[in-house]
Amino acid sequence: MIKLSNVSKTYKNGVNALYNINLFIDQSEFVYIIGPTGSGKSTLIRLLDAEEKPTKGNVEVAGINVGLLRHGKVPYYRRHIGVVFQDFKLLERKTVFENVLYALEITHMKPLDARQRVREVLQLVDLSEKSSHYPDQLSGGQQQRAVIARAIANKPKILIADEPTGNLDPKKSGEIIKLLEKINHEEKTTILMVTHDIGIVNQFKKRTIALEAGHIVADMAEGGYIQHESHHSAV
Amino acid sequence: MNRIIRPFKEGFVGLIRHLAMSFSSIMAVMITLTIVSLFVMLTVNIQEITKSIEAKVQIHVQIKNDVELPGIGELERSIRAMDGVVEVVFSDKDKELNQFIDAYGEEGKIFEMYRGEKNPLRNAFIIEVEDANTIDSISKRVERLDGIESVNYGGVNAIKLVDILNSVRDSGFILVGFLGFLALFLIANTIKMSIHSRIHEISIMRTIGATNGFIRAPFVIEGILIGFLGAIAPVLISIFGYQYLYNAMGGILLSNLFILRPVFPFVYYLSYLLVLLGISVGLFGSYISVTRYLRVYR
Repeated sequence: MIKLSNVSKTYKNGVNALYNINLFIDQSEFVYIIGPTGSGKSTLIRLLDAEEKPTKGNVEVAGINVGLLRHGKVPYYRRHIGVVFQDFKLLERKTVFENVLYALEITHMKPLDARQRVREVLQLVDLSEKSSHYPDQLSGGQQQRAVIARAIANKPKILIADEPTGNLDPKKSGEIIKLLEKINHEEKTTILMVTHDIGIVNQFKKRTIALEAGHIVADMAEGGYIQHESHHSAV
Repeated sequence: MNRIIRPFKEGFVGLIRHLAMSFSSIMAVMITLTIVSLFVMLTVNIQEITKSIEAKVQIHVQIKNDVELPGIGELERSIRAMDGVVEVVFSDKDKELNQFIDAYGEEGKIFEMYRGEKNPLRNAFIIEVEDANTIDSISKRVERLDGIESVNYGGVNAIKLVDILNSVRDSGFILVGFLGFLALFLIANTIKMSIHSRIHEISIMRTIGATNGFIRAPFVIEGILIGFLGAIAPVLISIFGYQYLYNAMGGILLSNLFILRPVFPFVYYLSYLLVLLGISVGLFGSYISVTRYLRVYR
C-alpha cells in the first residue's frame, strides 16, 4: 500500500529531514509513527500527502509514484488519502455538515448520495447532533472528530492522522483511538498515526515505527522489536 | 447541473459573507467606471462636434466677370472632378447679394441699391469637401483654374478649431485607455486583498483534494458579481445624467455649431460598454488573483 524506497528529503533551505528511508506498510495495517520533534515525522506526512517531493528515492502509494505527480493531478490523488491534521484545517465559514460535504462535492458526487454519506460518517464519529454547528462552536475533541469524518468521507484507502490526540485529555484520546480502530476494521482503511503520546502507544498496541533525526531507528511489531532493515528484506 | 449551480451559489454566499470587502471592491469599480463614463461622453461629443464643424466648412469661389455660362459649366465640371470634393453649388450674383444683405439683417437694407446692373459681387461656387484637412490643397487647385477671381474658405480658424478638437479627442481616447488600465489594476488589487484574507481557506480546499478549477469557480463568479454590481450606479448616472444635461442644454453646446450626440441610442451603447467593462475586470481580476495563490501550494 505504502512503499518508500531509499527516500531522502532535503529542504531548499538546506535542512535535511529524512535520510534513505525504506518502509513498507501493507493494506489495512494500523501503524504508529513516533519520534521527537524534528525527527522527520511531519516531512514523512508531507511526502505521503504530495505536499513535498522527495529529493531522492520513490514514494509509492497505492501504486502511484507520488513524487512525480503534476500540480494539476495532486488533488485527484489526495481524494484517495484522508488526512487528519493536527490543526484541523476545517473551513471556518462552513458548518460541520458542509465541511464534510465539501470533501464529497469536489468529487462531483450526486448531491443526494453525498448528503447520505455525510450523515453516515457523522453518525460514525458520533457528531450527528452537531452537524449544523460551525467549527468555532465545537470543542477540540469534536473538531477532531469532524476532521476525521471529513477525512474518511471519500472512503480513502489510507488515513493519515497527525497527532490526532495532541490537544485532548487521555479519556478523549482513547475515544479517538477507538474510533480509528473502528474505521480500520470496518472500512479496511490503512491507518498511519503520528503521535507523541507514549501512553497511547503502550495502551493500544500496534506496529510502531520510531524516527529519529531523519532515520528509522526502530520498527516494532505489536509483540516486540523488528529492525527495519530485516523487516524490509523480509518483504 | 450541480456543477453549474454550485459555483454560483458559493459565489453569492462568498459575496455576502465578505460584505465589507465586497463593498470596497464594488466602490472601486463604481468610481472608476463613472470616470470612464464621463470621459467616453466627452470624447464622443468632441467627435460629434468635430464632425458637424467639418461638415460646415465650405470653400467660396468667386468667378471672374468675363466668364460666361458655358465657361461656368466647364469650371463646375472640372472642380467636381477633383478628389475630395463632395458638392459644388453655383450661386449667381443676385443670390450672392441676397445672402450678403440677409447676413447684415436690418442694416443690410442699404445695400439694396446695388441690385441689378450695379451689383459689384461676382458669380460664385460653394464647394463642400469631404475632409477638412484637404480644404487647403483643394482651394489652391481651384485657384489655379482659368477664370477664377478669388478663393476663400470658411476660415483658417474653423480648421484650427477642428485640429484642436481632434487632439483633445485623441488625448481623451488615450485617457480612457489609461483609466481602463488603472481600473483593472485597482480592482485586481482589491480582489487580491479580499482573496488574501481567504488564502487559508484556499489552502485547505487544496489539501482536501479540490481541483484548481473547483476552487477558482466561486471566486470568479464572485468577481463577476462585484464587477456587475459596481457597474450599476455608473450606468444609471450615465443614462439619466446624460439625458438631463442634453435636455438642459437643448442638444447643443453654446451655439448651433456644436451639436451634441443624441441621448438614444448612445446611452445604451455606453451602458453595455460599462457593464462589459465591469464584468470583465471582475472576471480577470479574480481569476488572476486566485490562480496566483493556487500556485503557492502543491
